[in-house]
Amino acid sequence: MSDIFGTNISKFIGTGTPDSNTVTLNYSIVDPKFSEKVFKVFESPVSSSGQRTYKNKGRYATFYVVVYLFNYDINPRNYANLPSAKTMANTLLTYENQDVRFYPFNNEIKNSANANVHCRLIDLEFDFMEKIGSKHDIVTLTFMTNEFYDLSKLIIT
Amino acid sequence: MSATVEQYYNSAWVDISDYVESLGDIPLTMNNRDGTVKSSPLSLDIAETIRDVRTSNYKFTRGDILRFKKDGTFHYGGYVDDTEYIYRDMKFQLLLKRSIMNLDTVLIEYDSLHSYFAAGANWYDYTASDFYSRSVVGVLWALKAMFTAAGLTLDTSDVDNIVLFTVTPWGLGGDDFDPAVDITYRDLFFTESSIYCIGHQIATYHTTLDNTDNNYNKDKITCWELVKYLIAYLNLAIKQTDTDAYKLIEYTSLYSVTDDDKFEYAEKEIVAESNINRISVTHTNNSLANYESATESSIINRTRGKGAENVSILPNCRILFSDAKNKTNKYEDGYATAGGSAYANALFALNSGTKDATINPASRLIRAKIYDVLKEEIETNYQSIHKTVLEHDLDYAWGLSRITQEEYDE
Repeated sequence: MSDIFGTNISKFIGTGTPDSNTVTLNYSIVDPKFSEKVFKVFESPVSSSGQRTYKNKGRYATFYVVVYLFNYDINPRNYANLPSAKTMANTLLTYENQDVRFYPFNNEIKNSANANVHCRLIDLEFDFMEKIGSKHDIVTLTFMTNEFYDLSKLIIT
Repeated sequence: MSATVEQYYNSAWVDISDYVESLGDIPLTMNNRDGTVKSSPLSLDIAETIRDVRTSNYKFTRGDILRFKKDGTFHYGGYVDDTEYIYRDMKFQLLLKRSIMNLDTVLIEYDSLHSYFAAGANWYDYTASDFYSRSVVGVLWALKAMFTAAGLTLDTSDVDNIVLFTVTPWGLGGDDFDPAVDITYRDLFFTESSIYCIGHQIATYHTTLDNTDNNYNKDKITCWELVKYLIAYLNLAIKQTDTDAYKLIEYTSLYSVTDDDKFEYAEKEIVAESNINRISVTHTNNSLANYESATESSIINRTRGKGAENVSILPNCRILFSDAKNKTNKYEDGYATAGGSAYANALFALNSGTKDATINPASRLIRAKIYDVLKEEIETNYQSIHKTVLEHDLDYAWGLSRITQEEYDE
């Protein structure tokens, strides 16, 4: 985990559809792609100094969150009220293609005006890590920011 | 940079920027090389997700109104002229046309325009009976009336009082008047009856044109066909200031962009294809009395200049000028000055002595032919000041101006 962005467990909060519940992503790791920049460089073919002009519109982010579902049935860290792996899987599926308020580490994602930036849970990719005699289910959630966001707002104070 | 796309929906302007999937360059200028007015379409795609905030089967329809602004400045307003919903791409493809094209729905004819000429006019703009008992209409007022008839407005305040040339009033003088009178755009006028004949090959009273037995209805032109030429004849340009509002403006200087800010640049030297000695201009020269008679008169043409490379003014487009300006105390009925220069054809004021060249139609229609031109194509940062260059397109996505401008070697 990160000293800069914090060490909390990832979570998201529904924005009304299907509900406004908080879903904590226990037993997960986050793989962030912080900087999907919308950016262009313009070079003057006329300028004697080769002047460049940079036009930066902003940055999106995509967060891939791997949830180790098999641990929900084992619960090695004894989290309270942990749902079963199947229940968690079904819960996550109800948010597919919905907007959520996402907290990848400590802070919620915000824009430069400090307004919340919603993420769309665009995909749930189920897989499993196979061992002899057992199957270890996992699911990778893909969250994409719906608009440009301010990376500095994710840094903990 | 803040660019918005708005739709007039449920009696209010609604920001639909979030649903715009792609947007073509927004055309700012409305000038052809010869000074005639052009109206460029605009294409854009709207994501189907707009249905999330409307109805599940919402569709754009022909006639829907959209407008485009950047940093609060209006740039383009138009009507959906063509709409298609692409199911596979889940988007609406819209083609807009500028609202000025409403002028193409109004015919130059008495029934369509007379009431607009008369409504709300002061004596200077419209006089039902002048010294010769003719109904006369100010040229700028006629333009305004055509825009009003098409559901639009036209602001002429920038050009109303621009002095075009100076004349000595006919038959006047003495202590009461200045010997010289400045003729401004607002002093230009048509006789009302001549307007209805514009585009026709005869001169006659409108009742003859309107009589369905005479088969002249097919020759009636639309207001758009007249306006796009008339503005060139006047050596003026036009810009859109709101969805249904336009403004007449003078030609401006060109853009000056530093080399460092030219992201793309091309220049081309265009050699003049002709010269002034090879040009002639043909215009109608019928007696004004012909337009007041229900009897048809053949059109009489007059050609100025000697050149074989001829430019024709729209038939029966006779722009006159009044030297009765500032005589309101003496001549309450406006254009009541007696004959003479009051009825000279202002289209050709250019070649006659002291009269200024600026209103010669040839100046716009011909200048592109007779001067060498340096043509520049520039891509640069957004230029917020409106200039009357040949083309100025805005790329909202990256805040760019794409400019095509021509510098004449006059």
